[in-house]
Amino acid sequence: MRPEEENEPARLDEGEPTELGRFVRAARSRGPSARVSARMAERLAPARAAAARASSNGAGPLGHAFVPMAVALALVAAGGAFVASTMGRTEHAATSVGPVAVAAVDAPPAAPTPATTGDVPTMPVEAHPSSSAPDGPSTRTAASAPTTPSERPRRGDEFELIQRAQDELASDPARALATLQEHASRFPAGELAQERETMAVEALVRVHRRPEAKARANALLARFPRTPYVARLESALGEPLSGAPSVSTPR
Amino acid sequence: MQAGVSRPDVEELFSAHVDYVWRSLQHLGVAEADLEDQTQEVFIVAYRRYPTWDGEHARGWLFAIARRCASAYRRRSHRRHELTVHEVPERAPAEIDPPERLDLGRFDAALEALDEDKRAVFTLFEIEELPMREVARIVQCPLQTAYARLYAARRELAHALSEER
Repeated sequence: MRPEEENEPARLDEGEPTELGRFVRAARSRGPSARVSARMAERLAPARAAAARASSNGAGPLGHAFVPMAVALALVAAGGAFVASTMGRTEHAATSVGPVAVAAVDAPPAAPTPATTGDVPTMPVEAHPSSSAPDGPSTRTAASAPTTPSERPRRGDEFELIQRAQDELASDPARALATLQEHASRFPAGELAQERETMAVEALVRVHRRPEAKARANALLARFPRTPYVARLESALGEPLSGAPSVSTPR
Repeated sequence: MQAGVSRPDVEELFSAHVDYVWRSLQHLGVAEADLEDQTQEVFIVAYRRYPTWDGEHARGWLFAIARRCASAYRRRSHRRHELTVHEVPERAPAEIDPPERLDLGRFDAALEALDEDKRAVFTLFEIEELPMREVARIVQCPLQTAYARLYAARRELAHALSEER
């Protein structure tokens, strides 16, 4: 509690249980459904991109070229929040998905070898700038700055896949898992590997495959100890990740 | 996101605050069926102003935008939506249990009967759990006035709910 709050009266739900206190507690969890949130985020994308562009003008080396990426990341981030925010009050019908998604659980974490997909820019996941950047999420965009023209279409594909998975996550998590699997096989060392794994954890929870979700979250954490997605992972799982190293742990 | 530390990233604005904006509009009298449009409107305005925003107090800033949007909305739809709170929403979030929804309908009706100043203090303090100092700043009144409004709102709400039974 911050000092300024010390003298505040207790909130209604903190004292003896009252009807009003129960209402207050229930009202706190209200918000748009995941589907509605996703729809709004989609419609707002142009306005958000314009804001990002306007505020990044002259703000640094990133410039306009990276706005699409930032938007893609935002969609991913926003989507995660929608899912997380609705988890507590939503019971989704269990959906069965094929072994295709299971493969994704094992493949990326178990394969520290460089990508072998031929023309994909090969770089071991561990060596990727966005994976090992020492100061967290803010360096993610900057780290990917050097881009050759031939790389661009591919990068666009990667974003598109992640964005599609993001769109599917709210309404059809099983399909999102399949899309994420496609991403895992096409871009094993992709720039959005962490986003992919985070969304996969969220999707697995939503299709009631918690043990896999947890294993995958731990694998992500093991590969990317500094991942900015710990909070999202924990929120999706509804429990703290025991393997989460403290942020100050040197690595 | 801590107010006043640094400007929140434009990409985080929506995901971090969409639920809050949604609820604020709800408390400001926007009908359930119009919440999606109005929430979107708030973020469109927020994005437009983002480049010139100082980055301080995101929730207060968004609340001010939401209040203006809600007030314009109420002027527009004064006649269109009567008894909005009690209507069956067109886009009811299917995730909320019917019993809880029913209960909250009573709560919303009582909340709506409060005057706007008290309602704002009550919802920001009790539901959004903001510190009272921040609540007072958002509604632009002295701290003591905010306290007085909070206690009055609690009394009126408890009274309204007990009378109903």
